[in-house]
Amino acid sequence: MPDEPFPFDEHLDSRLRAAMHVAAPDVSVSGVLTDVERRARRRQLRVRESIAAGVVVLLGALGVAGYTLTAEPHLAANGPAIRSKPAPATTSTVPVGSPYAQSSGLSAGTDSNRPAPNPPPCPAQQATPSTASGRFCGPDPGPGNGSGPDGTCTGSETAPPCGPGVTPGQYYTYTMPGTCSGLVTFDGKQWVSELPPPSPTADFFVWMRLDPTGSAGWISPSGTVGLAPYAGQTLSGCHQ
Amino acid sequence: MIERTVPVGVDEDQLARFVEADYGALVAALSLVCGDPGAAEDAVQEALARALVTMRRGTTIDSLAAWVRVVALNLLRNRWRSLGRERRATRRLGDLTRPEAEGDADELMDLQAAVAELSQRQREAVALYYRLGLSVAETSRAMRVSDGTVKTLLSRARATLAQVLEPAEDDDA
Repeated sequence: MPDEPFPFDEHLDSRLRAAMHVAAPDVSVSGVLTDVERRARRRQLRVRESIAAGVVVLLGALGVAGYTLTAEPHLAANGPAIRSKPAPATTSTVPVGSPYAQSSGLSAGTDSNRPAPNPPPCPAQQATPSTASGRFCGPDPGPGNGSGPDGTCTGSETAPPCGPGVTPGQYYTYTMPGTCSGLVTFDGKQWVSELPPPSPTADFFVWMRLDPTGSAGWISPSGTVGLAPYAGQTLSGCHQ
Repeated sequence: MIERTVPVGVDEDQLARFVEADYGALVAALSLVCGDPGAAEDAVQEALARALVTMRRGTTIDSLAAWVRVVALNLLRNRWRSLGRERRATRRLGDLTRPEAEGDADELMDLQAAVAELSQRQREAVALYYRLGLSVAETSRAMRVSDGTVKTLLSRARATLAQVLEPAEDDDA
């Protein structure tokens, strides 16, 4: 019942409440719980698949970029200089400091010297970003259009992708803040990363997408991560 | 049969209690908002699944009911937008609702038809406030807007709906 002083007409309100009292569906508690459990398992599976895809992308790209995994507790780079942020380029590169590499379970140097799996090559001239083949293909993401540093969203933007109006299924360049909260503004709402970075990192660029089912996520040469609507839950923070 | 494994720390009873006490009312309220009981139930179940996953990751959800309300409403909003169904759902709303309360059935149906003509946000405010019986503060948290916005939405919705009720009020006089 309302507990604030609100200038409503009690008679009218009671009639409105009666009219609004649409019958609740008959509920089988065990049936609903079973359905919810099934959905939760599907969702957890999707997250694992996303993580696995991110690992495959990383390993594949490491091979392309000339990095080799060694038994030493660090990545030995035979390739180009390590960058902390992907630069706009036409070829996929892996930022070794990828904020999600550790979260994805890819601990540098913990694997053997086995060669990395080799996903199929990207189609030439692919205009749309995708990870469907097991590796990131398409143009590298650039900075977002937010009014914060590096194009980060501040929450005051009125245009997508920071502000509302994002078209489901479309990819947007987006600057992902490397903060431990995993909290981001997208489509005028707040979302929380299902895989926060292992430690605070520099902002980085991704392709952000709103899924038609209502979830969201980003892909980039450094991985694939889902986002859940933020509903005031306690944030998990960085994972070490 | 689905095997159910709930790690330590996840309060399974909390979910069962929610389904028992709040699930039906929330589905009914969201049905009022979107005009599609199936979509409403789907949104609530998906929100519950996300809550379960969240809890299994060790995150504490202080108020499951409030959490699920916010997430389910977000899911519904995104679904409408992606499918472009809002207008069609709005038109169907009057046919889908079944009042429990006794009284003038014609008036109730007129009123529900009038609800269907409200804006999406007004319908959300009306459904949460009148159907779920939330306070203004709880409604504003569920909609993620300010209390003032909720009051404005409710006032405007109420003014529209009052026009449907006014002839009956005159009759009573």
